[in-house]
Amino acid sequence: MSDLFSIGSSALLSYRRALDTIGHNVANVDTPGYSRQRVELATRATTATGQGVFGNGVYASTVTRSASDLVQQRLVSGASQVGYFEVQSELAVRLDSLLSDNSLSVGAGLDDFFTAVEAVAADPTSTAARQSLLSAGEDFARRIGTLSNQFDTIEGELAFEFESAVASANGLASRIADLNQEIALATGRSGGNPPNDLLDQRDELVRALAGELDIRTVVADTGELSVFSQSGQALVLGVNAYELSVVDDPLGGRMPQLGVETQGGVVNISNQVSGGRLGGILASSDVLATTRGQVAQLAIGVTEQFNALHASGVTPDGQPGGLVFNAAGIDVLAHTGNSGSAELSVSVTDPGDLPDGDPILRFDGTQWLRVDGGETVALGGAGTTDDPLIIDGLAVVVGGTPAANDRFRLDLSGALSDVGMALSDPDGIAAAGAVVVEAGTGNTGTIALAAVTAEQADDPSFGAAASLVFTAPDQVSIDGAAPVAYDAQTGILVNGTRLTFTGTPAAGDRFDLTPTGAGSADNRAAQALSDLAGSSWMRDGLDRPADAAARLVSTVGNTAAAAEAAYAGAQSIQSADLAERDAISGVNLDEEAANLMRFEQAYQAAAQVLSVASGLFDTLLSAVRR
Amino acid sequence: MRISTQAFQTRTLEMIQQKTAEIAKTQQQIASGERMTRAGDDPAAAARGVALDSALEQITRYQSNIGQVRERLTGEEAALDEATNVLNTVRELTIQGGGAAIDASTARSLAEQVRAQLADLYAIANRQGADGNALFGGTRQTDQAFVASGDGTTYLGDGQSRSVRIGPNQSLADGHTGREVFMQIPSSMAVTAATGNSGNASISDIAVDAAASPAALPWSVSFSAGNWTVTDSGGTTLGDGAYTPGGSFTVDGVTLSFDEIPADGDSFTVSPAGEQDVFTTLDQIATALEGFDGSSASRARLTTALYGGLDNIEAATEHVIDTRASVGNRLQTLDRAEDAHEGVAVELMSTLSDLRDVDIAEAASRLSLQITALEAAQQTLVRMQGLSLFRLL
Repeated sequence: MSDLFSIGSSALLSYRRALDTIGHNVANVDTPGYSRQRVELATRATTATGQGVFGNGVYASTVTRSASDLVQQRLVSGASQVGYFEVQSELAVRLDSLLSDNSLSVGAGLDDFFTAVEAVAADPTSTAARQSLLSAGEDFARRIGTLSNQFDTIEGELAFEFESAVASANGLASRIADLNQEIALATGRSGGNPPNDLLDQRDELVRALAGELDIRTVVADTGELSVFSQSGQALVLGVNAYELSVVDDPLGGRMPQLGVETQGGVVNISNQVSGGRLGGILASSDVLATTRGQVAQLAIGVTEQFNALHASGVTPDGQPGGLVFNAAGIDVLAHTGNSGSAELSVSVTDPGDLPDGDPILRFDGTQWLRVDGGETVALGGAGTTDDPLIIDGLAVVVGGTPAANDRFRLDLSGALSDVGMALSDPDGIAAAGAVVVEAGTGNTGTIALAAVTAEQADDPSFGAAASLVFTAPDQVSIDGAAPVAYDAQTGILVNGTRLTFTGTPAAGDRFDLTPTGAGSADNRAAQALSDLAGSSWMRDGLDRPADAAARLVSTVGNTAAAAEAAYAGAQSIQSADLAERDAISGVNLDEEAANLMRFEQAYQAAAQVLSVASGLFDTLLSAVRR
Repeated sequence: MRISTQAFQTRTLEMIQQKTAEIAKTQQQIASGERMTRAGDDPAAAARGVALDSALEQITRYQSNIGQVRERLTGEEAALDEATNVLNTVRELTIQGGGAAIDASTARSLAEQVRAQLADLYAIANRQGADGNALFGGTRQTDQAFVASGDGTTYLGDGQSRSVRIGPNQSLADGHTGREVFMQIPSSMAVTAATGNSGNASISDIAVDAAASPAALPWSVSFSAGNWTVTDSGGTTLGDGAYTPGGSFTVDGVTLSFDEIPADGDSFTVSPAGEQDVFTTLDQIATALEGFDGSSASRARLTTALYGGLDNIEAATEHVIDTRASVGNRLQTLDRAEDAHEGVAVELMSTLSDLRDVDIAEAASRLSLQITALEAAQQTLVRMQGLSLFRLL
């Protein structure tokens, strides 16, 4: 009899537990990371007698959660991907919008500027045309300046986000370490039963941490979960968390880098992080640096080339052309670990061949190497003033003594912020060519001047007077010197100016070059400046300025499109993984309602069993009361 | 497969949000008329758009240059037309001056008219362009291209003209220099009478054998006792013979014909072909007319002077007309270039429109499709909300 009581009460107790658990499930239907729980029922120990083995009822053996470690692993790596691409697509879209904005478009700025230059070439004495050249130059510089400022702003925001992501990752790691301890304690207290809610919380924290950077996790037999970065640095080891920190770029980069605390001090792991928000920010700063480098390559290329050509012209006052745009000042940033005394200075030798991105130079003990861009290239030149190191269109002079493994970065992209107009006086524009070339009045041949090109404005005698006398149809004497061969194809280079002709000279035909004085209405220099728009001189002879501007837009646009696609892909993978997790772990209210009824009925039945047991007892009592 | 309640709701909500975003994008496309809001929407098209914009801008520059060059060339053409008129008038006056019937006062009046034409010619040659600079000043900024100086005319401009881009690899000079137009006019071999000549002989024709190369000009032709003698610049006698009035004699391939009878000691100078500016030509004609006093010797000198003057006037007229033809050719080049640019510009604009503009009909039908899908998703969510077992408990 007492058995039936015991059996009935065991059932009551067990179904009560089951109903409680359903209540817990229903209550947590919206709790993030919650896994539905189930009471595992088992039969109690039996009583063996000579008449047979009798069951003793039911008991709730444990409460389990429906969770899959495999899906959790997938969600962890999925969270890293989503965090990684989310940051990148946000930045890429932002850069894309910035460069697609009409009021900031570099291409439109260049078009307007060269239109103004062409107007001066068409009407070099018009002050209005000169004034609008200056305004268009200002506008071009403004566009570049605004872009540069926007890049700075975005960098600042990225750096801020980086710091907050580091703080968040540190918080998550330390809470995981704390939970490891709590889980160990709770497991011990419950005699080895899983503390389901704590495990859910820890899984949720691990997923959140994976959203900050890509991690690997290892669960020990004790139930403690350790977290490592992809490069193997421990972030959580049992109950200890190791701090991530923000460290400065040793090469003077504007973006911070990621360090992690180890027993040997802080280690820079920036290069090994390729997931999560932190990885995304690091990758985004590379994209930003590339974009800034491209804008710098374009803007500094155009302004330097313009300045160089302008110097070959002559202003209305008869002076040689001065700076139209500020001269580019490219800083050299030394690696913080450098031990030598070397100091580098850099100058632009060919504005049409500026390097892609900031060159990084390393001294290997005997020679200088260029180490950016994924491969190591030995540099030509000795690094002296007469024989500088040549990096594309840049020349570097080394002062002092470098030590082996010293590194330097040529901050081309940083020079972007200096782009601006240097000229404000319309009469400072040198539209006229340096020399006036006139055919001799007594010329009898059919020869006529075809083109006059300032070719070597740095020739010391550039722009000086000279006279050409043809002594024969294929012989020419310059300034009375012994005649040299005249080739109609190449023309004649006189004092840095190349003259080409049509027709055939007769002996005695002459051309006189005189320096252009004040008050010239010539347009040769302006024409040469305007021709910069239409000729392929950028990227070492591949691109016109407009092509470079289009390339900028397409690179950034493609980056944005790719980042958005990658983000959408990562999201849909995560979505599928979440659906799978929900299928296993999520609470379905219909299912819970059905279980609720089922267990309620079982509970009612158990109560009935108790009632019958009580009835049996009463029957027995009334039978023996006589 | 189990579907958790939360997952179902989240998914449906996500779908609604996605549809709303699509509708917002289509709506923006329709409102702005642009297919792309930023380059990432279609990077290749965006980059082509930048390149095409630049090409279009380049064409606009060429068109604007063509307009300016046309304005200058038209100005030059008008000036050259007027110069031709002046020269024609002077030519008529010269012919009148050479007439047998004129007297001293007529000659003076003719001279005055020639001087007036000379002043007109200065005004034409000094005409200013729209930029306030002399039209014929070359590349020198100057108000005036020519000034009359004591012994002739000084050109203040320079000898180069400005060339302006009117197309890819195509430039055109926007004018001729004053030196080319007015100064460097070819003049043929000329004969001038010595001022002291007292005879009636005058030059009636100069013919130069194309194959001949007359040596050591200028020559001096002197008459004495019915004979002629030609000596070269060094004083060497090149030829002599008996003079017949109205006859001719040939020295070194140059045949000279004289009319009437010279006095003993009369001499003439034969100067080489070269260049002479048009102002000097007019001035010489006026001076010759002014020097006529009605005497027969003076008439002979006038006839000789006007013979040379007429030659020079004709050469100048021809030269100016040639220049005007060159201006005409340039104007034609401008028209052809402009036509070509217009064709290309239309092509570019239509390509740009294909790249950037949204197809409104397509976008509108897309929008209505998206709205239908959104409504369906919303209704599904509401209907499914009602389907809970708990409601039936």
